[in-house]
Amino acid sequence: MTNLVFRSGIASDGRKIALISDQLDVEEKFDNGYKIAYKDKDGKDTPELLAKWKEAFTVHSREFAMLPCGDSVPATIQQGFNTMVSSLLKGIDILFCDYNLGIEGDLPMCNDIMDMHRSTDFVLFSCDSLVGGDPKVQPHTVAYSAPRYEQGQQIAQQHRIYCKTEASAFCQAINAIVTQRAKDNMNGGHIRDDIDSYIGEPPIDKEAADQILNRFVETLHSEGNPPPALTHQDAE
Amino acid sequence: MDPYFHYYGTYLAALTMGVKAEAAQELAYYTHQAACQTATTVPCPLYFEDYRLSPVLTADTHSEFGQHCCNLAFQSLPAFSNTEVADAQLCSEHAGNTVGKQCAGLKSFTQIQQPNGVCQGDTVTRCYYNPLTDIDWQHGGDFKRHFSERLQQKAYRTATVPNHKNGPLFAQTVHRLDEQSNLLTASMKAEQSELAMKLACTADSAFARKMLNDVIYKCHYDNQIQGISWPLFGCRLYVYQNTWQHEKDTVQAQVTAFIATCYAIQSWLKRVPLKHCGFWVQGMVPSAVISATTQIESLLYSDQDHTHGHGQSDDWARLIAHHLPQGCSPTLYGIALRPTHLYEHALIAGKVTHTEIITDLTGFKRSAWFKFNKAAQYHCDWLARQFCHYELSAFNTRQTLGNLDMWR
Repeated sequence: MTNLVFRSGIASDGRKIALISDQLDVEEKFDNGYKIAYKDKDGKDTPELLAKWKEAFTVHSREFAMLPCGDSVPATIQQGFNTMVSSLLKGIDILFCDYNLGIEGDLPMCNDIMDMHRSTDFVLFSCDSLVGGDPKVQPHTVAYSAPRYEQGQQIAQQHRIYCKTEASAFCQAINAIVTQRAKDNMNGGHIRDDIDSYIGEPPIDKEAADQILNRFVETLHSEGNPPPALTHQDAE
Repeated sequence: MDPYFHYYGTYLAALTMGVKAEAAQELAYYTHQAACQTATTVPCPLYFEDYRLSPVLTADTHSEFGQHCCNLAFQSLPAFSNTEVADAQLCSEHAGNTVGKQCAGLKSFTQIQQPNGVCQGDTVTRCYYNPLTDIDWQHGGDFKRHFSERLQQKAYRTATVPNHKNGPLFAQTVHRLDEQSNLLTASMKAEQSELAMKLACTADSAFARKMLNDVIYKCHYDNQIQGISWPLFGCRLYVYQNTWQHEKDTVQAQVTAFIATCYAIQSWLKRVPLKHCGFWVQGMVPSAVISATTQIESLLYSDQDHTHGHGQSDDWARLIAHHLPQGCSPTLYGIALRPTHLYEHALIAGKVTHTEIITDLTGFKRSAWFKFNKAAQYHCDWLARQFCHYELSAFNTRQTLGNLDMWR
């Protein structure tokens, strides 16, 4: 059994960064990644000291069992996942998300979400056991980019980074995104809440996040334990 | 296809077309070698220091396509038939009856309803992958085996490779078309039928000729195959000859394969590509080919009536001896097929110990067996790229001997 964890924080420069995962030890790695990446970006005269969140909270869902590996993500789970992340993404600039949330197989879940929410940059990570720890075998980080908006000159690029579940990989991902955003800003590739209204909304609070997470856990429960079919006697 | 045919048939074809006796036998051994590297007969891996050399696998009965899809690469080369042509042929075969009319309906339907690029659906090339877990970055960034197999299963979930065009799958597709409410199902079936059509092996297909032309062209300018062009040509003659193995009349299939081999060797010698179809213009068939074909025909029909085994090998060897140029008179033992000939020579050349360790790397790399495996590796890689070209990247036929730097 495991829990979903959602952590949302406001960085020292005001950016909103969030994490959603079913691996509980990722939270610490996420925090460490941010603290190192923002060491010299927090506007203070202490470049050697780790950065701190302006504000942050964490929510844990109820326990649930991971769904066994299938050929593809069940439609109900995919739908539930999309609804959950769309709700959690309000105002979030960077989302760290498990590649396969709530299921055992290494199946993609975030592609629809990444297409729908172009004002947010995504960092996807898989379970440690799936990626393996040998640096000779797999790369540390692989980054792709897609145009943020179909309108205009398509200067701004949305980051889609796949990385290992490590603090150093998370740190590199944040660095890459922050640097790219600064570059885009210089060239006129700004984030536009007139196109993506969700990015201008305030981030979700702790209570609402708790409800949303548990709603998805219910979907996982019902998919993993379908209600028994009515027998003849039950019907009577 | 009979292993004797691969060796003796190629040997005789090469002699008939004027290739020198030694080179002809070498080519015959290359052609035959592929038959010796099936899952049950493949030699053990060899080692040099910490580097392992794994011979290329040419057939495997454990699964339909074999490990590394080797059956597709060596036993049943896909024809990649143009489905419109195939449909047209199918329609003409059933013209006048109800199946023919429904077939025409299917064609127009599939033209309107093009396959959609749906993630994780039946479209192979548009599935999402995880770059950290699904790509083998150490070997050039190909998809990993498990991902290819997953795609392959999805793409080929219910379809089977038919040897003939009118399989039950097609009938099922046509039947479903009658039900207007099941148009979507019919569309999926049509896609599977199209895939099965592409993967089907056809005797003397245009794609098989393209494969031979690839080596005929590239042996003049491509550094990658200049040292292995003769082994590669032999290896591909094996694949080419195997395209006739699904024919019903085995004797006639071998006779036709022999004529085709003669034609391919002549094209090689003249440095011109094979035509898209057919062999010589009527009346222009070389007399040596006619004579050799007659002899082979009588040999195969007489062997069909008698028991197979050593007698058949001796008959073939006598026929070869009869065709050897004057002044060249090796003993019968020198002509006869020795199945492990190339491998044994490689062991000697490489001074391989009983623990499979190569001690003379230079000598080993000069051996014909090593060159054959290099050629087979090239062929597998080339075919994998062709699959990608036809948007069937799930069927990854690539095989490697081992460390690319070591065995280059």
